[in-house]
Amino acid sequence: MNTSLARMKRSVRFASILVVLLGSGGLWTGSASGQRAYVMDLPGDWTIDGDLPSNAMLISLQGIANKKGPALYFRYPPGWAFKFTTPVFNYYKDERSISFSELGSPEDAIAALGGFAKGYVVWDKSVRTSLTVAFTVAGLEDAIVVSEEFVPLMEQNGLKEIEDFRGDFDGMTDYEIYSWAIDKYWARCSRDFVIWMGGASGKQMMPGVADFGIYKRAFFTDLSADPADSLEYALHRKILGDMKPTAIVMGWHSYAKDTEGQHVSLISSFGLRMEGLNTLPNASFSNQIPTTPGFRFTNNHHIGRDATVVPEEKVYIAAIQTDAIGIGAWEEAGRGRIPYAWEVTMNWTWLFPAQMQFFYETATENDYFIGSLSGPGYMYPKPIPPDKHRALIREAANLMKGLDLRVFEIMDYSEGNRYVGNIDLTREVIDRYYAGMPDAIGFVNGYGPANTSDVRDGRPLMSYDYYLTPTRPERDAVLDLKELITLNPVRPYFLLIHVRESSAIERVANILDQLGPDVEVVPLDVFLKMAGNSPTFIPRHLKEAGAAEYIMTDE
Amino acid sequence: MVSAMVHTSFRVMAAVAVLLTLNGCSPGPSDPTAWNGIYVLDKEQSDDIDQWSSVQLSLSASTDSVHIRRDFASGRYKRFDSYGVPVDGVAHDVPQENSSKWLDNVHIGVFFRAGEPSTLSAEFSDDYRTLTTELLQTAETSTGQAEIVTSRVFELLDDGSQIRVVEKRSTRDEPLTFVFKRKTEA
Repeated sequence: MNTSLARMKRSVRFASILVVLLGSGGLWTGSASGQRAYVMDLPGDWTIDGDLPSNAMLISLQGIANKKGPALYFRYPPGWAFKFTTPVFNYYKDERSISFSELGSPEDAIAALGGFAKGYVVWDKSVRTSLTVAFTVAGLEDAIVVSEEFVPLMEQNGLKEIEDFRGDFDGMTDYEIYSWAIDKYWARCSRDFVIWMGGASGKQMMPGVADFGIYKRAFFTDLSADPADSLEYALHRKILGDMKPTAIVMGWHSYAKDTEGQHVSLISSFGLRMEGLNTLPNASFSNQIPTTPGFRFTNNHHIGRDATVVPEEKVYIAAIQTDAIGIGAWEEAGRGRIPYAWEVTMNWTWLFPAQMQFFYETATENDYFIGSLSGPGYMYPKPIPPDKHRALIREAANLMKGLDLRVFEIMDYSEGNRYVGNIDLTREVIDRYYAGMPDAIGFVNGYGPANTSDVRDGRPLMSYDYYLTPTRPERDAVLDLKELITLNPVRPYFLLIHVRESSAIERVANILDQLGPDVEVVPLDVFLKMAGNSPTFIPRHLKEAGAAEYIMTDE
Repeated sequence: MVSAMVHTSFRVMAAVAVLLTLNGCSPGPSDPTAWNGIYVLDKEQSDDIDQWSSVQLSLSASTDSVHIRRDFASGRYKRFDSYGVPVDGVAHDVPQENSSKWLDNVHIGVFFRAGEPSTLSAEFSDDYRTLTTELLQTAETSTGQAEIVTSRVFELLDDGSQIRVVEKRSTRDEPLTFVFKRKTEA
């Protein structure tokens, strides 16, 4: 196609999109009602030889187009970690009166929205890291991310080449590539957000969060947090050290390079916070949909803040699903059948307000929200410098107030995890939470079982006593729980269960139903009130963080 | 990590057993060295070990003593415990060396504190075809302490190609069965 003709067509097409979007109220007026947007289904093969090239192109288009207002939303395929893209789409459509037009193909999407872009950047399919760098370029230059087979499509739509990484990174290590990218782009990138484009590795990438990084002009990387990888580790530290104190690291660590514990520990040591995952969908869209006027986040409390409940001589169980409400069983059958607590990713209240409203409005009486995770975002308390930690706890307490939350959850994988080391807290760390969250009725600690507990003025800090995996056979889980009950003959016994997010509630209910008549499943706030008023657990804490030996101390 | 060696003579015995094997004295059914080797859990024939992706059992036995080591793995995480005791049926002290989660089920809120006493007895029977052990531990739970008695019956099956372990715990309603396939000779 003649270039000037193509550009003319592109200009006409883009003008017509603007007329369509603006003509119905516009998507960037701050009010979602009566507005229009596009929606598209993404296919589910995230390999380089599969759908990744077209999906990466579309997600970059989303980030660019949504800079001018929420214009493009994706329904992610079955099996995607965050399961709410269709229900939230329906919520936006039905409850928030956003009128969506379906896009049937990548070509349709580029034709409809390519006009928001200033050009394209070509990544090299033989060097996976070039895609991560291309996302950085996409945000800075409004460049659609394409692999070479999509170059003709770009040209047909009048888009010009901004960067071409084919062959540029041959033989280079990730450290060398990211060093080059930092030299070239870091000065222009956001200091509020940085994207760790980790998670899947090798031939796969699942860059759901890339639209948000592009929208915020963030730097993209997956540098290692493993000190043994000294070069990447040093570069990782440089990036974190350059961020603002309130910055958020979004995405996830690379499963091929380090551990979640190493990654979040390093972020925490800078007093920064994490918001997962690399798969987080439609963030650039949902960031711009506010709550409805007058809406207030209201939790389903089952007991007054100052009420007293005297427990019976029996076993009380409370179940909590962590790992964010969006990636778990929220949309699975059975929700509402039993009392269930859900970990709320509190920053969503300002990052994705309407999406958070969706969860609050679809909660049943048995769904109870709790604050998380160790601070205003995902972080570990032990590596955080104490002064920064106190400020972060205050910030988390304010978020809890806005979300009507009274229970706060703490997790620390800086010295171990479910298999090795410890996930316990020191007395000093516990003191900070009690002092900084005077309105909390209780605290929860752990992921797998932990050994830390406390109680002050009727406000308990309790660790998980059981971790229910999605793969544990029901019969074994029942025997496990009965064994725990045998091992804790004192009554009342308060048994706190962490349910891994992919366990369906029906399954959990079936397991708990088999524990016998002396066992009662209660809402978490009632559970904590009873445990705080009649504590039968032994207060314990970790003697010293970072010590060579794992030593617990009784109070 | 639990590691307890009770008898200083054990290593000598084990060395003798290895030498006998190397000299062509292949272990017969009445020979404790028939147990010696490394075995890998057959997950298909065993009770669920959900939290671990693999378990390996290493055994070294003589007429006087036995050394049992279990290696657990899940991805990059690896743990092990190890006990060596005389095979006299008497409970021997095997104190907890370090604080630890319960390797038999890391998803249960049971912990072992360093220095807590524990005992282990071991005894061969059925012409060295069966090994019975009994481990007494003091566990730390959220409400205090609790004793756990773990009885394990090891049976050497199929000319020594596999071991079946039936485990009964004083705290668990039903026994657990694990089958290990031989990976190496002694």
